Amino acid sequence: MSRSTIALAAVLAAIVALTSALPNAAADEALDKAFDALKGYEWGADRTALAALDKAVADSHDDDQARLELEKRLSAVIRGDAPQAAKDIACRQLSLIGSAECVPAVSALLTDEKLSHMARYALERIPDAAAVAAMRDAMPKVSGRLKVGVINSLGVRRDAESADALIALLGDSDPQIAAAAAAALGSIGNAQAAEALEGFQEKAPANLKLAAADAYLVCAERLLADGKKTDALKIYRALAKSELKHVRVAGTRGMLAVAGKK
Amino acid sequence: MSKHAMTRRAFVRGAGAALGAPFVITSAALGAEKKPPASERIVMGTIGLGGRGRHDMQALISNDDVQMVAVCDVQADRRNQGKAEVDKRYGNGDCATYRDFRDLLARDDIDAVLVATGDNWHALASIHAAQAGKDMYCEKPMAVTLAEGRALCQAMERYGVIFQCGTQRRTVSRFAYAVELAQTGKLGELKTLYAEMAPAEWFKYHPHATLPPEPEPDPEVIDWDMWLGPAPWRPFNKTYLTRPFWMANYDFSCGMITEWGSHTVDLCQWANNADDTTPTEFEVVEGTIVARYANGVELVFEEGKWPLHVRFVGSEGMIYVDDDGNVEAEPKSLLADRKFGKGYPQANHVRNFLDCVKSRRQPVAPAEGAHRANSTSQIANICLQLGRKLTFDPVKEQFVGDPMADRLLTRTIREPWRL
Repeated sequence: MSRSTIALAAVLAAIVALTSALPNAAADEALDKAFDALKGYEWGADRTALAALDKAVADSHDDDQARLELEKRLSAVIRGDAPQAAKDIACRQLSLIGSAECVPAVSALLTDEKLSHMARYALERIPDAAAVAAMRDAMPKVSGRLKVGVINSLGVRRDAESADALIALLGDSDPQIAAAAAAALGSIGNAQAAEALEGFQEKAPANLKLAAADAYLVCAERLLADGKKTDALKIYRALAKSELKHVRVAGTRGMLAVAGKK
Repeated sequence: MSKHAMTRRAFVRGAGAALGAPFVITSAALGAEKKPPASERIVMGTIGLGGRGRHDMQALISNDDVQMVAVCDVQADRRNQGKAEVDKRYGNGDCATYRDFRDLLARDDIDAVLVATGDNWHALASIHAAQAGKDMYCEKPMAVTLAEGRALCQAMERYGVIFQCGTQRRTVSRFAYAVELAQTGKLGELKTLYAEMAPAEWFKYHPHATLPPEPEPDPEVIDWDMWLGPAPWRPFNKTYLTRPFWMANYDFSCGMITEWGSHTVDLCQWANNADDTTPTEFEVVEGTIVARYANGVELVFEEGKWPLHVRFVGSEGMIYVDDDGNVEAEPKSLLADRKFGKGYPQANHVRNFLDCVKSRRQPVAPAEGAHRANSTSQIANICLQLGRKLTFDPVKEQFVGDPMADRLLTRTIREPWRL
């Protein structure tokens, strides 16, 4: 290769590097500004100021490093003293790109009266087992509505490891907690859940009858989907004798489904 | 006779005592002239009394075999207006009012409900109604995520209750005729379906916009916590309660695509015999969304302009239909001498629902079809948000090779609510 060819190649390489760096630099600057806006974001502030962050999150789907960098910066917003509205948005973004990396920061919000829901908003969508484990660990630390929320999320994630704790909550004095535990067990839908829901079904007070029946029906559907026809049929037969007409109908429909007639 | 005839008769016997008022056998109870006797009437409640809710409610109570006995809204002025309209219809003061829809659903004398809440409540309220054994007419869009829509379908299937989605153009004759031409091959091989989105100028607000805090009203006047329901909390501001703000906001609705797409995409899906599926590919083309079904048919989301319309194009013909009553076809012989009306009334749609409550047959806009049409619009929204081509598996109801897009198929519901 001649010196002139090498020089030309070097110039071309420099042009390529410069032209690709310029948009990146602009994008980086826009993202920095968006993070600055996010850190002070209050309810009612201009949401378009965060457009570069929205774009960076959407565009990071095929760039592991970019996702990780964003995740770290968003986690820092959550750990800091940003307003509630800012942490709300950070949780939403982490719900799209979050991994185990952000779980410690996000899960710290599970016990926060104002941000527990947004913590679940992120954690429920994060596939990593660490997200479920964090919610499982938080369950005994929260009460009232927050506990109902955490139970609901464990139900969405069908966390069989929570089954023992959920079974214990079927007897909770707060009917909303007992109903949530039943629903979560129904979603888990394994043999252990079915056994617990059978007992709950039989002794549920009047204000929990519908919740108990629905959880038991969902459990049967899960079992049937897993090919456990006998276990599902047992539930449907029991519910076909319910004192509630529409539950009897549901039980009968379930029996037909087991028989493949629906 | 409806499935709850016995229950209603029992209610007629016991209602006086339960309400602490003397019970008198009236001509209304026995059925005066054309009015069916109480045992053959469908006893209903209305949940959600905004403009659309009251419009639907009027369509329902204009049927003699409907007895509206209760209304529910989280806003007191709407509750009172709804009650006044019902009481005026029946010439009495009997209509009960509720702030919490669960109290209305707990009444075992009620057979069916109208769900016309804000969009973020549609699926949850419908699922609660199914769990209470009620049939329902639910406004569109029936859910704000695919996960909600699927959960709704499962609940309807679980309890065998009747669900009619308020996509009333399915029972407007000119739209139904256009679908018939497509389904029966009169347009030749179906090629392209054009579904209109709502006009963009209605959606000037950012889909995630928030508003500055204002003092929260007395819950008896506006129950803000119940208004938000499953949506993430934020401080009260009265503008949230107004259209088009809440319609444009993804926490409360799904924006311009579902606003009209609930109708236009639904009709395209129906025309393509796709009530049990969705397109498999979605991409942004020149600022809009183009989707493709597994059978090769293309679905183009068009920029919205009044009047709302759909257009179906096949290898041998085309038909265009709009809300103003315009119907155009090529060849013109497809229309022969047919005459069509204007507008998009829901009288036929409501009647179809009531007939199905009695017959237990599937109505013309059942849960699965509504869910699939809504899914198609929701996926288009996701495609627009992410700005990239997406491949969707309609059987698994998941994206192919895009885990981030998969995360947008569901949203975590605020406590204490759950699907």
